[in-house]
Amino acid sequence: MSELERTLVELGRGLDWPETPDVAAAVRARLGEPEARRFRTRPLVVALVVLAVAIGAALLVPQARTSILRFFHLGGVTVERVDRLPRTRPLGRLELGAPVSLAEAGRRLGEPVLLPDGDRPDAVYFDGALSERGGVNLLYGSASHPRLLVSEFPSDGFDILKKVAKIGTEVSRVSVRGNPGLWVAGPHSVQFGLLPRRLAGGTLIWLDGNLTMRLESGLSKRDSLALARTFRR
Amino acid sequence: MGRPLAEDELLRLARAGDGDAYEQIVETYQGIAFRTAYALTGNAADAEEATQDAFLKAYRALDRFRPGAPFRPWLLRIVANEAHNRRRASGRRTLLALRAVEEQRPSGDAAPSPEAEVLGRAGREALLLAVRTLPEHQRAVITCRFFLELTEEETAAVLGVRRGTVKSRTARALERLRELDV
Repeated sequence: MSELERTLVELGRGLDWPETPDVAAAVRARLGEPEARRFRTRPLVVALVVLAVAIGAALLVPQARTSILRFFHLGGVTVERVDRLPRTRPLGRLELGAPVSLAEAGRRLGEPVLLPDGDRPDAVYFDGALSERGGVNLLYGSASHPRLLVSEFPSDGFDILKKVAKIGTEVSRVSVRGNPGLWVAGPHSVQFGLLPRRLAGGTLIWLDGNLTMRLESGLSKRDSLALARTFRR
Repeated sequence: MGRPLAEDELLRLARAGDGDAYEQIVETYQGIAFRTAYALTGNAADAEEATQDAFLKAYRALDRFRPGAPFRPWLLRIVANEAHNRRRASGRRTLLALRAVEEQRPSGDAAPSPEAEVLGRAGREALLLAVRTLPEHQRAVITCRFFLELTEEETAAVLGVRRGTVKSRTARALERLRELDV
């Protein structure tokens, strides 16, 4: 074993592992259970659409007036902070464009698609509405139960993507590998071009070369930033 | 008090429906099973559920376990499957959320100077940070081989790859860490 390997073992022994729960008694008690799948009630990280539907339903009330309190600009993205969110209907299914291969998406985008940690998505779409030259949506999970949605589009447009966040919702400037970015906590309203508005969960937006990157998931700000740092071609 | 039963005997009894025998098996392996699940899910609650369910599935699958084969890699493969299912369901990415803790010095050892203590802690954090920057497949193999101290066979079972792949990924990950010079 090399010095580095020994150091890694020592590091592992000194890590802050959570205490091992005593599962032996619980397993013993469950040995007689029928094999049928048990349904769990503990909430998991909520998928985007579920979040959108649940909160969207609560927002289906006419708004008499929406005051814009502050703007944030980044690439082709504008984030408005308002006192009231605009009327936003829940979407049953995400509209992501035409399914294409990863290679085709890169060809249409004009440069290789960036992937989180090099992981290939479950589905790739090219959406002409994402910018004047279109853009790519990477879906991890399914359209009805998305886990992670990544959008990549050229930064040369203006006001391509409009996000509206209610006052009190965190909108903060961040940095991803030295590139400027914005974190918008969920829920907030999001609108690409003339597409219908929809509600979004926590979203990280940052610039990478010629591209504006957008990452929407159930992850926290810290985990979203950590994931964003893993994007590569 | 009788001699503790050997693992093979406990497994034979468990296969025959002896819950007490299987509870002893669980007690033996719950530590490594939980840590493996935690490394894969990044969440203690998910890891606990995955561990429990994995032990139950293993119990129900004991008929398919080949007597005399090593039990630990077989069990860890089931644990890994349960953990992956939970990670997929939650949409969470595993980011090795572990932190280095203060080093425990054996009593009686001379206390290091404050400077040495700071450097030691900084070195551990720097190495952990370097591991975090590795591609996921390399980070996973480093976690299994060195942080969980799994064998190559066990690592292959947990990651669902061949032993040769474990060897090559480990070598590349170590090479990359050396290049980072932490």
